[in-house]
Amino acid sequence: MSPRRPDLDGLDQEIRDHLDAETQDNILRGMSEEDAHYAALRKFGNPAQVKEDVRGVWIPQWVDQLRQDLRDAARRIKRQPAFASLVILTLAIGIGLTTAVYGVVHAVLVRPLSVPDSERLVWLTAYDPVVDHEMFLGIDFVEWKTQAPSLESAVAYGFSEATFAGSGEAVRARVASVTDGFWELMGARPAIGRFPRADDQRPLVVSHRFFVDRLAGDRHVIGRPVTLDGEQATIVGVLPADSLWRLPVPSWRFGLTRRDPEMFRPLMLQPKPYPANQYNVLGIGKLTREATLSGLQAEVEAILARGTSGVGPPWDRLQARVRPLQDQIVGGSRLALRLLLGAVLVVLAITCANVANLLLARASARQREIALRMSVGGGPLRILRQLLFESMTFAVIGGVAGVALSYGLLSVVKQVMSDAVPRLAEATVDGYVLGFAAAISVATAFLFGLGPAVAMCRTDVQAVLKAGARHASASRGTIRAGRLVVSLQLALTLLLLAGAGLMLKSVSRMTAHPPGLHPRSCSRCASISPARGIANPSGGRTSPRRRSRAWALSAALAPWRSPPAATRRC
Amino acid sequence: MSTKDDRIELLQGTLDLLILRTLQPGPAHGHSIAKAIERTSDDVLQVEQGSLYPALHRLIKRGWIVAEDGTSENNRRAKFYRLTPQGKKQLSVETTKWDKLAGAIARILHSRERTS
Repeated sequence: MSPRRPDLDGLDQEIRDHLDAETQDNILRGMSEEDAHYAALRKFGNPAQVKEDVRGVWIPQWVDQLRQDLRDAARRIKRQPAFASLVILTLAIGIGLTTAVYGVVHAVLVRPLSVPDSERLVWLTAYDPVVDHEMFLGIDFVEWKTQAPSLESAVAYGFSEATFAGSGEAVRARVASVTDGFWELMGARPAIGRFPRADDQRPLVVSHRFFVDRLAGDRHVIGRPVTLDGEQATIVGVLPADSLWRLPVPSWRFGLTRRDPEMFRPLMLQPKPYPANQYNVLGIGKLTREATLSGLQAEVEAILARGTSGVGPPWDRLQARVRPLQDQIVGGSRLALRLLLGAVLVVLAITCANVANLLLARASARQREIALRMSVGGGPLRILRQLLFESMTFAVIGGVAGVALSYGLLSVVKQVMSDAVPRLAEATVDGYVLGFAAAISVATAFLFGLGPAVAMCRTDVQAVLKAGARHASASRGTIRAGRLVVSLQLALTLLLLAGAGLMLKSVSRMTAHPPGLHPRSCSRCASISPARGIANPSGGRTSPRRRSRAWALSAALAPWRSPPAATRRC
Repeated sequence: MSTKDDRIELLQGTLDLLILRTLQPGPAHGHSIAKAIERTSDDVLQVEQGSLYPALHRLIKRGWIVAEDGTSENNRRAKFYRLTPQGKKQLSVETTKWDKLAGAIARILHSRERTS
């Protein structure tokens, strides 16, 4: 049974009665009324402190103080809206930037691939040390798949371009060829239609983007005959919009097929010795639960060394290469993203320094208030906490605004550079990113609030109160803190500038040194014609307009010194 | 009235015991409790009167006393504090403890005089 809390509102009256009674006693002892009153007060102690202590018996003091701090902070923000919005805006930009970049880092580097058991997926290839790129023969893949005990399953894939002709104009499409089991391994489900079956004749699965951009999102294309490089094919399924796997590309095609394939067709690899399977492929394998990457590496090296595939010189120089799939997909962007994250953290630190400076500028104006609080019994720790709480309030509001900002930033970044960074499309503000935003908000509150708060707590109460309202100058403490903040800011800014300068220098060097030819007078031109002159399925012929466009471009290129203003893709 | 130098600051926690003891004869309000403690100790014990109130509330919270509205000697409404049965029991426990402690300390202090 816990006793009922007596009415605390009566406490004021009780204390007044007590003081009155004591004063009366003192008067009876012969004191003057005024002396009696002050003697009673002296004997009683600080009534405000007593009230607080009594409340503290019933209500945990921190709850009470928290409520008080919150009220004070809200009041302060309301009283100086311009200052508060400046601080909050500054923080919002800093936190928003950092959160957006972290959102990308989290999506690309931290979050596992959106493929089942992605941690067990490995990228398989053989590497030719002489020409310095991958060279993975289909037959080698077949041998690895059937003979390596560490592999639960494996699929091979390759990239190509092909001319696709449906009912409209022919287009050049990025095509991936994939072996059986690819869809199961990637855990994909078709958005429309189905995945290829063994008895399909040249089935195609198209990406959602291709479906929307080139096929006008028409569901009836399923089952309708189309041609791919002049051969009859059938679209059997459409992938969902979020199936973006960023299949690793071989290094020699980098840049060409960096974007996701637009369509997939089956790839058949027969288990026949060389030279039957001369396709150059890439592989994705799934490790068994017990297997390790190094174990698999040893197994496939042994298989290559055995040479049972019938592959002779010069292909006996190939080396087996096995890597975690995720590393292979995002590997190139890891360093860049970490640098970017580091850079925005420095920006955030500068933001904190800016806000700290603003708070310090306010400090001189607030010294009287703080001196007053101290003189009525506010301990330095209590005041420190209150000031920090104010900073925390700023940081929380700034953090919320920052998260809103990061939503916008992320969507812009996703649109502008979706092809530059793998997996960027997956970047969202999810629970982890929100947690990160909350953590940095709290951290910034300490970072920008602690210095000014400590400086203000060292206020010389007597000096400030004596100086009065006419002249409240900044104390030595706040001046020193201000200098410290400014020098820190300068150092961080220099760091950022130096980093940015170095980067700019690299870029300018890259552009300043010609790659051995004059890119201005070169043009990449590809002319496509559907189906090698064969009538396309819709009954039309090669569009004369298209042909004439290609000719026009060639003509424009003829005078060597005056290339067309822009390289055109035709 | 004793001079300031003769006064002793209360030991931590003894105020609670003194309040319980003061309330033993019957209910009292805050000021009369303070007066009683000062008077019966011949003004030796220096109690900051304000500290009485948090102590009273601590005792209420433990269930040893209760607060009741009443009328003071000069006919004003006042809060009166009264011992509960639990508080009475606690008083005897605390008194015994205090006696033991004081006795033990006294024995130690005085034994030194005898041996030297």
